[in-house]
Amino acid sequence: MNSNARAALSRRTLLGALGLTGVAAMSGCAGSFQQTAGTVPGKYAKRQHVVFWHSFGGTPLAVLTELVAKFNASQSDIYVEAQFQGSYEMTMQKLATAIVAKQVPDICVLSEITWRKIHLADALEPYNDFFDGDVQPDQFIDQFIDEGTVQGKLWWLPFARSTPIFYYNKTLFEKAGLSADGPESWEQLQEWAPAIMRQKTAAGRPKVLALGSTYASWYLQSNIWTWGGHYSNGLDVKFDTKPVQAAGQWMVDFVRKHQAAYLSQKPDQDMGSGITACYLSSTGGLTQAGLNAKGGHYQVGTAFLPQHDGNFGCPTGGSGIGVLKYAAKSRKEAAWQFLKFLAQPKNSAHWTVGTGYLPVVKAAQQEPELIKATKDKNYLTALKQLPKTQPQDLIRLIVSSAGDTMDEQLTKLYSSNASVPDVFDRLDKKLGSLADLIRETYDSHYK
Amino acid sequence: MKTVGTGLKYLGLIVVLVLAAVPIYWLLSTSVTSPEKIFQFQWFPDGLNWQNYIDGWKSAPFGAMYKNSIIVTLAGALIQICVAILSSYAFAFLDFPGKRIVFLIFLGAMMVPGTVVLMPNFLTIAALGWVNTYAGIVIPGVGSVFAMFLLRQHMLTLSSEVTDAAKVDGANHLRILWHVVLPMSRPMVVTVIVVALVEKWNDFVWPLVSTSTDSMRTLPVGLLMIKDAQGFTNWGAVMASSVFIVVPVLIVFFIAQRQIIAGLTAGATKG
Amino acid sequence: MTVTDRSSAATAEADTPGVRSASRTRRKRREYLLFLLFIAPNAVLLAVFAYWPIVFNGILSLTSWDMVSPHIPFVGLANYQDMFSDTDFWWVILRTVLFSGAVVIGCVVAGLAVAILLNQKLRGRNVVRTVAFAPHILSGVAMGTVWLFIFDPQIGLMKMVLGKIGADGPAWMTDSNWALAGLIIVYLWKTIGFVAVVYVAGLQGMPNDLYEAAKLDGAGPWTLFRKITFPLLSPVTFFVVVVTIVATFQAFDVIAIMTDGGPGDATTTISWYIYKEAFQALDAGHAGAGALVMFVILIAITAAQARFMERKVHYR
Repeated sequence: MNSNARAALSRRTLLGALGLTGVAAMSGCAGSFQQTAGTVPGKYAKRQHVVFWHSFGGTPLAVLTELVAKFNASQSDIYVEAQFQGSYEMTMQKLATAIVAKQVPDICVLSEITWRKIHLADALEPYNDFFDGDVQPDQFIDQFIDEGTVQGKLWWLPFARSTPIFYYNKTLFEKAGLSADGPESWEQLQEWAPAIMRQKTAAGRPKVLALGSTYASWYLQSNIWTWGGHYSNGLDVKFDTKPVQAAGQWMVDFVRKHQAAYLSQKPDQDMGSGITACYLSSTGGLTQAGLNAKGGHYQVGTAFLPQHDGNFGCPTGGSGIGVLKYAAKSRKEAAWQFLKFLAQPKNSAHWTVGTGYLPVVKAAQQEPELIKATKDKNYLTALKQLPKTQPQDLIRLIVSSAGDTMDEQLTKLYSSNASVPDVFDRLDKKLGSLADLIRETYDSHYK
Repeated sequence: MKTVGTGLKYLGLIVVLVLAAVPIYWLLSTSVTSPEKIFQFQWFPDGLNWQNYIDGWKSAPFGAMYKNSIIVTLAGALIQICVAILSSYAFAFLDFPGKRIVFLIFLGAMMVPGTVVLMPNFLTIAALGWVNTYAGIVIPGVGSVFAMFLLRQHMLTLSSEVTDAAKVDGANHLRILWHVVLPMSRPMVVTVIVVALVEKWNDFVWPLVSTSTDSMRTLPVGLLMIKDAQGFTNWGAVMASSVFIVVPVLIVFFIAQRQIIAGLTAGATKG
Repeated sequence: MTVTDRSSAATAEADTPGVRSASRTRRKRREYLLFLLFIAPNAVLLAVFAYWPIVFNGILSLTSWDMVSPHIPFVGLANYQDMFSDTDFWWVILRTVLFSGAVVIGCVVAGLAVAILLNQKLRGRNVVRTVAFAPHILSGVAMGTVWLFIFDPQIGLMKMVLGKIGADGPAWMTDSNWALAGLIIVYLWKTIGFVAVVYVAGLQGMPNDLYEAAKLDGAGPWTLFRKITFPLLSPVTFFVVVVTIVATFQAFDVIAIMTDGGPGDATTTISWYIYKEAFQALDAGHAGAGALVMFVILIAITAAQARFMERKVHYR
């Protein structure tokens, strides 16, 4: 796209000039922001109502519901209503359209690749002024605070932070005569593949690795790094480089040539029913993995992500919470009380133990509940891996649709006969033009 | 020879019946299968596990979603039919210069598919402050071309003596519409309403886009949310939730199947 | 659609000429006003929610607005340039045509066959007709959920049935080569019964004398079908084809619940593309441009068909 040909018009000029009276209202020249609709039970009717949008289903949802109820019972001024909005991406999309519609929640769960979009749209409130005697930024894990900080201000408070880890069926590995600690490297896993696929499970012969159809580019980030490449250098997209294509080719070969990996809509369930022996997933799926293992009568193991050529790499991920700039001041302050509650070491530890997400508050690691849980080696895997992790390459973080676009092309590779160079070269162009679109905004916010 | 032919015909009937019915059976049967057995293939459920229905009902605010679906469906269908009746009467019985062209312009709107208007209409209701309100879900869908067209075609077949006589009596148009034309068009009106009801009940993409909270979501949108939240971990509950959506339509269909079939296929024969 | 207009035929009053014409104009004017009043609600609704969106899409397609930021960058025709130089977008169109074509052809062939069967004097045919029609009115989201389960590569019904005849079922929804085929099956299932019932209505309106005459000439059943039945049914076929094309171009709910347009972009049809660009990628420009392209394609197809039918239908 030719950026010289682009004349930036303000929304008001463009639409107003066309005399679109109704539409002009959305340009921000009329009307004020409102809280999105919700339901407050009668007994809480007099309280300050805080709307909290989130993306947690399954086990995490149960724990979150419990924490919210606990908060509502712990004081008498604020009622927090948690509203599920679908996946991280759907939540951000709903939030974006909510901003257009001028009906916003007060706080919203945003993932590592969605919060920046809302930040770039100037719709987030920095946290700096909220911090008080009780809660300070240095109580959180530094790495996570750094990730949420732009130009000295904190926009994104860590909450359900995670990293990918390697899940495997320990019982099956033992039966196959393989190390019960899981594979050290991708090459080792490939060597083991025939032995794994010879085993018998409830579903017949298992595959080695289930590749999830969502967040494929999050998992592959690790491979890209260990193969010595990057998705991007700043906003400069690198999908046309050798290491990136080699890393992609390896995984594609694992699918097509070795017939060991396959695309799945539900990797964790597949392990539960014996369809696969391993999968990659977020630490946030740990509790669910345990439940599946119980149902399938095997032991689940977790390991660091496999290495390549002695290189290790693991991206951080998961989500934090943003405060909407457009929410009324009183609601922002009430929401802050809730966030403080979540940051209490006890509650943070409970959330971690209940879900598998990483502890975001330093003191949580001293909580008895968490100490007890880390007796289980699987909880320890994530904690031990954490210091070795790093934020993903910028393109996936800053271009909000980059993750979806990359996932689409990766799942295409995992499920068809398309060639890696073809797909990656086109992806390179597509991401490049998406990056061009936000370059100006990016520079104005980050530099 | 003849019996062989007849036998084959009956075989054909059975094949059609089975192909059409099996997915519906599968929905019902999976919805009562216990969670332990759901990941094993079986033709018949292992008993009636109503627990799936309880889990499903608890997994989302179904009460609110039913309420929303009912309100949106009824309001949408009723407003649409009123709009359609008024304009079809005008096109059938009232004079206006260039009426034919006006009618063609109306008909042209039939060529504008829902996907095309999705984003603009969202921005329009956003500007009106209608996002996540009943008005926002209902109003953009009540403009009516197909129902208007069917009603007009029907009104033109009404015996002209009736309406002419009414005019000579000095009855005004509203009275003719109410006392003469409507009673005579009742079957067509019922048909059109029933079709509108089914369409609005199943409508998915517009409520998905125009709502943002559980308190306003309709059943089909809620089901997508449940599938996202429960995913593949609790299939039985997801299936039971699907049954919640399908059952009212199935019941209405078996009661009013003649009207529904007539309505949905009307365009072909009345065109 | 040839119906005589008789709204003005009714006014006949015997009065003196002068008074008559004056009262007639007044009366006419009142009728015009009433006409406008009656069509007003529909006119406003259609203008705002059906016609204005076309224009609005056109405007948005010239921008690269991200739906949230306060600035709307104007980019001219860049979005169209971008789309038409992108092989993936051509695939979206091709895929949509393939999907739509397969469903249309399948529906006409199978629907007509079922209709002929249902038109025989067989016991229980009314029950079969009702059951066959039912899929058409059931929520696509709900039934898509069931089909997802039926297509499950391990425990799905499809695998079991294919296994019985010795075939190894594919992974359907996670295999790029099969996902679209899976969707076609679901849409055929949803639509064939409806099409059959439409054809039955058409068959019942067939003039018997033509058949009798042809039979006397010694025509066999296949000739009868080819020379009489199918040509006579062409208006019904036209209706079926148009309705099915529009429905498949708009296919959304089943895709949303079953594949999200994936795996990869294997089931991304034009309507999913528009939704994805608008509400997932938050790219109003591409969404607007895609919507206009879809609109133009549909208009072109329908117009071409209408012309074709005009030339073809001269029996009645």
